[in-house]
Amino acid sequence: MKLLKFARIVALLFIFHIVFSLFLIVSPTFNAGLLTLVYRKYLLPGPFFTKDRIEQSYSLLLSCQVGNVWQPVSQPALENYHRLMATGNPKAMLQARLDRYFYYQYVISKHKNPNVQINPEFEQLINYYQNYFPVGTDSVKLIFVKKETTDFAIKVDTLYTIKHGVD
Amino acid sequence: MGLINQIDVSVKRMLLEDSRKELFFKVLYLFVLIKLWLSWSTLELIIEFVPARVYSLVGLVLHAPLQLLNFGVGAFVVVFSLILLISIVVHLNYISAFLIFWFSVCLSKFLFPVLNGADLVLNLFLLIGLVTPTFPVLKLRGITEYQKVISAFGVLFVKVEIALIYFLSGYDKLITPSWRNGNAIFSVANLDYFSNPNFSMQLSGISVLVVAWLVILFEISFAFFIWFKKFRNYWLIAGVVFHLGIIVFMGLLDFGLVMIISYLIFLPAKKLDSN
Repeated sequence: MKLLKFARIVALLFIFHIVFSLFLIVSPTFNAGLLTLVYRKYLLPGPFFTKDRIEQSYSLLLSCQVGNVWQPVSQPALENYHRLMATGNPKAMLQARLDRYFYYQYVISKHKNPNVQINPEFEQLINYYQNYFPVGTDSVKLIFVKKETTDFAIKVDTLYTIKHGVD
Repeated sequence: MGLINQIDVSVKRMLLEDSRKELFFKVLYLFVLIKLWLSWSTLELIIEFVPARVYSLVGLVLHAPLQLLNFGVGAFVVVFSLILLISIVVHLNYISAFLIFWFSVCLSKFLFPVLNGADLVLNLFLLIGLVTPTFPVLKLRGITEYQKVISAFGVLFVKVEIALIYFLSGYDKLITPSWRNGNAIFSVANLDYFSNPNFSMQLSGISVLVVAWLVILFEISFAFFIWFKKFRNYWLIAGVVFHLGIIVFMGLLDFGLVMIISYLIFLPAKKLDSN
């Protein structure tokens, strides 16, 4: 009998979980503090392809000056993503994500404080991207590009170009 | 009273239902093991270039496995690999389930720059995995029966979470105009980091609309039809095709694999045994 009671209690908790989850799904803006925060983050993962994530993306184009010659523009993150698609190597997927992480951090910081060009996020970015600089690089040009796809139209904008000397 | 009776009947039916939870969790552990090995070089880069997080005393205790990183990435990878390898070999049990969840959450905390939805889903399954073992058997005061009930609910919890994940994803798309008019598919096809350059396709207005609605209908219907034995296999096959499509066309390897692995929980044990 005790076992049955226990099973009933667990079942009722379960029903509560399902009902509450469905409520949170159909009321995406409902917010009751920590409970909804924890629920949405840990017990109800998703949604994954939200509008803002797929309609806006950022790229970083890199050009290095070796001697007095500017090298052709490269996109390390995109090249790693293409390597993943060409070879199926999951390490390339992680590498591409890490490449993107660093310049997204800079884009976010720049968005928060547009007047500051060189900030800790930029130092971090340069530090990490040094792996992609050819030997003998004197300066680098970082071109941040925003791509938007709304109403079946593609809009590409250069957000900012930063020229930076390399030690 | 009617609800209570209904619950009793459902609970009894659930306890009688056989599920391949052992297979599901062991494949999940194998996935974590492969992910861990593949993340090795990324972990080293993160240590080198991402500033270390400062934890409080409680945080330090909660993330104790990360202390192994002080001895090098290799120490963490080797210890976690051993835990995973042993867990794959031995019977599903509370101790290894706890250790794997703990280490996996710590790994996710550390790998945050390269995480995506797959890790949230994975850790959620591993969290539920804490209650699904029935080993070691606790013979004290008839606790064994309670273990079985909790385990059965754990398996059901995994199934419900999968259904909710699909429903949430489908419902969000349904209420988003850009998904309803197909623009979302157009956007995805033109996202540099989510479109396979080997399959450059020019999607027309009609085709993006059809694909968008197929995705919406699949995700919402999955949450319902997966509960009916009659339809289950069709939706699981459709799901495998859907996630393979995401892997091939978008390169979301980890997410696709976690979702495909999750389908194992829906397979009845008898069916697998007959193969």
